[in-house]
Amino acid sequence: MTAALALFAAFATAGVPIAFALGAAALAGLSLIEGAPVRIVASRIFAGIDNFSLLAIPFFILAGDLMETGGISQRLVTLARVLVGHVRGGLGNVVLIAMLFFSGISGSTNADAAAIGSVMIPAMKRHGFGAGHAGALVAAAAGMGILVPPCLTMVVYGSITNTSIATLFAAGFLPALIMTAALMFHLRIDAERLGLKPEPRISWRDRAQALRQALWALLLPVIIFGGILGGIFTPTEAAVVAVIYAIIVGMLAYGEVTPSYLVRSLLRTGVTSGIVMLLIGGANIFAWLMTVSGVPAAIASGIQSIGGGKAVFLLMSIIVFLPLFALLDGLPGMLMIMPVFVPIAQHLGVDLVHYGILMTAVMGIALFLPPVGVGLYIVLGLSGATLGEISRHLLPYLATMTAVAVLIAFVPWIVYLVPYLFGLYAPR
Amino acid sequence: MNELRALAIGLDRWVAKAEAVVIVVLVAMLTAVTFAQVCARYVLGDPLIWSEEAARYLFVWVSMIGAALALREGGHFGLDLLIRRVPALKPVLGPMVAIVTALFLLILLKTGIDETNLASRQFAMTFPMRMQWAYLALPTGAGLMLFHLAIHFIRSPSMHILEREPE
Repeated sequence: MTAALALFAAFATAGVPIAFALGAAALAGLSLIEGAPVRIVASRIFAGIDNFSLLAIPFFILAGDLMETGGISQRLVTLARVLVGHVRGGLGNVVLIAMLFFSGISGSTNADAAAIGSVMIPAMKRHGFGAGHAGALVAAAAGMGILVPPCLTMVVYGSITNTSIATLFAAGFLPALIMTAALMFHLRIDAERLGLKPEPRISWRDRAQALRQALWALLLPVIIFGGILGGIFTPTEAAVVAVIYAIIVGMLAYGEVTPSYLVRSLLRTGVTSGIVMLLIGGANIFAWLMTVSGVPAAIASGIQSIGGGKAVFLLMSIIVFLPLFALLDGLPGMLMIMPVFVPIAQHLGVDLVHYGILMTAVMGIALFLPPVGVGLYIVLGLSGATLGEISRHLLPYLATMTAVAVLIAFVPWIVYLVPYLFGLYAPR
Repeated sequence: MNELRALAIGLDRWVAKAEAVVIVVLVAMLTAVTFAQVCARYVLGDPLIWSEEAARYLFVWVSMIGAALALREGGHFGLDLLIRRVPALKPVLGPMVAIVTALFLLILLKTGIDETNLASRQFAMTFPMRMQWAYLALPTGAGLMLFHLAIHFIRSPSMHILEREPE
């Protein structure tokens, strides 16, 4: 087993795509086990993909892609601007609120950062924000946005751990709002220090106008969550309804989705799904090897000998996840570590919904962690700031977000409250 | 020799186009089948029994062909830190990475063919189709990935798998 882990590290460092590195390292580990059936390679990959819950992935990618046209992000930004532009911290607040709206439509963090960043970074620079500060705010907001459902990370986590995806979705709302509030508070302090001016207050008539223009886009999350939380649709069905809605709205109401745009979206969806599903397949082989060699049990007993139980384990999870997810682009890191950490969590009596939300929150931070987070490079490109400039502004925000993650770890009712209100969670 | 090389690269481009067409058609079918399921259940009140299973197998095909096209475009997740920081290592790492990937894919191809043969004796649960047609996606995807990997190598032996194919 140690051999397989070492090989995985060597392969991954050399640049073998993570999906193949997981599969190849697991195969090498398998060959050391006597009489290990190599034919599980194909069947584990098939079993990894053949899961109706995971079908939500292509549909949420497709719906998000169809709604990510320039016009829609502009409308959502305008709405956020008339709502919170006058609050101290000005356009920084607009970034956070626009990200809340936008993440409710799209399931991909990198796409969120690109869509909001391309509209907001130039605007912030014009209003007295430094390039590094503007980029850092978009990065922090996008990292928070991963908690807003629909979220592909939650779909994958829920499918693999057999946790209700609807419950995970509902559980993400309150942590997302708390993180947004924490970041707005942080920004308020920054605004005084940096002398940032708020925008003028907007009349209610202009606000109503902005709301009307963004209405079709905002109805999408209403349909998705109304359907899922109301127990009408499964997440996969809600996702496909979102696709059909996005096609209709994109073509008829906004006129930005042309047939050729639709074809490109279908293609991008298929390719992105292929990348994600092959990764899940590779991780499924790796997970099998881990379980067969009893790694989770060994680590669990190690943690128990340290003492401290749940609290130590949750803190340790945050400390392990942060660098791992940053290095391995989030999802691949999560798929690699899940077969070890999730059984331990179960063993220690940590609720899997709570653990999944904690993992998602940490992933949002890790994706933008300097110097390796993938999301960071998108923001770098958009802002034109150097890595150093962005990091200087971003690290304090990430520290605030990490504090919220620790809060989530130790105050689980933040996670349970919304699912409880919708009857998706029963306290034990 | 150069003509053969040009032929191989031309074939690769043609295969990639075919994959793109197949992906678009399959994702459209996947969406249609699942939406039909929703409509049948909530609008007509008469749920389809075959749609969920059909969508799952379609998705296996989408995933494998999508993974193949992603490989050609350098789209798979991977750590490019080392090759970005130390470009001098690329001519060594490129072929090594390709060999590890190819070995895994060869095993996937072989086990995929075995599973497909085994599955020819089973039927899908909710409609009359032999399961080999679902499992066939695995060796097909593995074969296509090996093909793109080979052309990658012919085109430029030192190229790294995480890089985009120049057009």
